[in-house]
Amino acid sequence: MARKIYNRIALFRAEAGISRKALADKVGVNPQTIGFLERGDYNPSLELALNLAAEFKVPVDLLFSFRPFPSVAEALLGQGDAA
Amino acid sequence: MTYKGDPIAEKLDHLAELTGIPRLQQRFNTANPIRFRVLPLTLLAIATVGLAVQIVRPMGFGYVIILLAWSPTTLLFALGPLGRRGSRKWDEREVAVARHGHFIGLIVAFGTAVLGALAFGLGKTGAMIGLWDIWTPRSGLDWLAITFFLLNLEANAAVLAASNAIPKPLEDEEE
Repeated sequence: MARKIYNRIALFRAEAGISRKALADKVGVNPQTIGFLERGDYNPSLELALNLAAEFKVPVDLLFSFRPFPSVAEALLGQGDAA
Repeated sequence: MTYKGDPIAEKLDHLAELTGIPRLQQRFNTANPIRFRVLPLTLLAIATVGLAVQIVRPMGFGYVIILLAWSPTTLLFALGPLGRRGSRKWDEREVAVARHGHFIGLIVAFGTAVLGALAFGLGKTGAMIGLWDIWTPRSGLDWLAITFFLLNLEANAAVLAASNAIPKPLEDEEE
């Protein structure tokens, strides 16, 4: 059984303001695949993960992780505490 | 979109648009695959009944029933997760789903073929020594019925397995 991989594709996609179809066209997959990736129903290959990370211009570990990502609110609150 | 330039070609193109076929083809090429559950099981049941009829009455009725199940099976293949749409190449997930489906389908068909061959072998042996008489294929129609039954089995099991491997799409995924 494959380990669950968490991702922030939906967050980055929303920030970039692009649709699933536009992102799918850029990385060369079916738009449905982007939906399944966002929901965690499908673990991508290393090639697809690297392509997605390159599309958002971030390192792949910012986009995918074995541990759940903190929510935006938690991340912002954490930054506020640090400041 | 209609062709512009040559008036005859324009008219022919317009006529084609009126039939609705280009619109249907475009929808088919861009639509997501349908996840089948009940239909493959129903077709498998029909094919099984066909094989049973071929065994009981070897006049070809059973073969015809199996063929009746085979025609819609090819349609399920095209509309389900194993069908290719348009000229777009499959992505890695779609390839994985198709491989998974065909793997399950081939295992089911192969397993049935092995068990069937074993039953025929035991049947012949048993009949030779007068223990029992299990049905074995005799005519060409019997063999054709078995062939199309196994094809039905592979195709419908593959469609079922592939459909099962695809999660239900979200409502907003049809962007």
